Amino acid sequence: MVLDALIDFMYFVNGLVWGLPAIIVLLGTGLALTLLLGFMQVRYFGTIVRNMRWKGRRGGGEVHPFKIWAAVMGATVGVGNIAGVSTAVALGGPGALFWMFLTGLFGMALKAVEVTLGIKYRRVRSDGKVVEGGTPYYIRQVPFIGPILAALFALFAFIAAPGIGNMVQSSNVAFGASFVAESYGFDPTIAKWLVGIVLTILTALVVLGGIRRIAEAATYLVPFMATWYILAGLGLWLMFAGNFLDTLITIIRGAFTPLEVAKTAASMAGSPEAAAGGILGWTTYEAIRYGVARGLFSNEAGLGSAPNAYAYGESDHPGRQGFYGMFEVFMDTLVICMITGISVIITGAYTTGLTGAPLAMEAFSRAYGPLAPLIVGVALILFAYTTLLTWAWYGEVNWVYFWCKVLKLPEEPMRWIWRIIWVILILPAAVLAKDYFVVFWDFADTANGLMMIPNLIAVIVLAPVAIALLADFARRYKELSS
Amino acid sequence: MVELAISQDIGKLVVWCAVVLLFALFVFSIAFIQQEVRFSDEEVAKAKRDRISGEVFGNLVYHVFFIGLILVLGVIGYVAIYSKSREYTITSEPGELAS
Repeated sequence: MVLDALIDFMYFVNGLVWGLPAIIVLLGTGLALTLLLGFMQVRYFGTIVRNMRWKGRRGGGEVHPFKIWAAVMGATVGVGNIAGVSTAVALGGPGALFWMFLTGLFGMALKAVEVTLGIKYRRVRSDGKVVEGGTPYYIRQVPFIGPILAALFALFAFIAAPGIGNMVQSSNVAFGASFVAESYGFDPTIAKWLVGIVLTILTALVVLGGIRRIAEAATYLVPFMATWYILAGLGLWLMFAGNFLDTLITIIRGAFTPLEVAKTAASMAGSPEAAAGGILGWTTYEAIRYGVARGLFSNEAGLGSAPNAYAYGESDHPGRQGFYGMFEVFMDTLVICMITGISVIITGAYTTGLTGAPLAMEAFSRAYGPLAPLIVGVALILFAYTTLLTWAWYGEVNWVYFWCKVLKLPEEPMRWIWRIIWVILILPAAVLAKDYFVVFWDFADTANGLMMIPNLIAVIVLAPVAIALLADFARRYKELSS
Repeated sequence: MVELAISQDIGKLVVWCAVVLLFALFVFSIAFIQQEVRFSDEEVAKAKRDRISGEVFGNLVYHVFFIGLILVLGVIGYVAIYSKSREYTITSEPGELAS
């Protein structure tokens, strides 16, 4: 009885933290920071790109800045970039993509501010070892309630991590592998077990080595997976290039007016749904609701996850990592999410009534035929695996903050306990049915959404610091990088 | 390393509150207008109308509470720094040096 009431309450909170009010506060804050930064992400876009070539500064942190960026990118780009974006287009219509684009644009400013704060409020030894760094360390700077907010953030983050960062991801990797196996006539159950065991070993090898090894692995995996998916998407666009202008017009129309589409559009590929006829309709409200939500939850701007890793990167100026953060959101939302979104629209697959990964698969099948399971399956596996690696670190930073900084337990054993728990959880999530974990996953999902509250409060209270640092870095970029 | 002057001015706080509130007004207005949405298939249109009214206006009190909570706590924290020192300086160092 009590448990049922608790579960009901958890779902109620979940609706708030992943629903309309969160969307309003997150996008509103991103827009406000964009104005306060004078549209820095647009005016300095060239600098944002050039900054990615910075060679790092020994003694200014633990890990090369590009490697840290790759690790964060690995966490940000996840299954949601394929399945989530497809669902957003299915539920919000083509117009959702326009609002997703705007969300990415404003999210760049929000991410830049939180990452800059993460670097500014860390503590570094003269040899570059980061003694304290991550989101809770800037949240605790908020007057009066800062220490409570920081402890709450850390608690939410380490509850969220095993669910959304580990078990959901290993389940997705296993699903992706079993999907590819089944498509080519192999036993999906054996594929799941094999993947579960291999994933456990591979994750242990990486995660037990801490942030350095995670970043090292991400440096190889992330550029490969991004190139793989982007090239596949661009190839699809080329094959359907004749529909490109119509696609853009449909996206803009759907963003501002209710859109009605005949299901017969699906006949482009001789889909059986075409025979069923009927219409599909999307309201402007749905386009905003699902487009903004997917954009925000994909790039994680405002959730406070990324500063937990950026804080360990080599840096010579906090604004520099802020610029890395902006490029991360650009790649995630304005490039990879758009690849998925435009692909499902340009092929006409969005009118089939499918959602999630099957919708993306339908779009890629229309371009690549029997190769589609391989293309989407490999992308799903890599997107999920890199998320699993970096979230181990996000969780560890907050686990250590909560148990060792707040409750004063010894740090080294607590780090190892966390890493061992992380590795143990992978296999059951890969091989068992989702039904066994669904309540825990939803609980973790709720905790993930709750991370936004303390983080956003800190972001706005400390925004003047980040704005001054970002403006100073933009002004002195050439001098600093020479 | 350079010293930077930080201005904890109320203007920034006003911009944040105003933008969040205006965006909230925009979304709620769109939802309000689209409670009357029409499609050639009346069943589709009715499902949309019911969904919008349930999601937006069925939980309006909680939506306002959630947005208000973050705005109020943000304002309290911001004003707490403002009341101590409206202008202060920081360095551009990427973190504090630990011993």
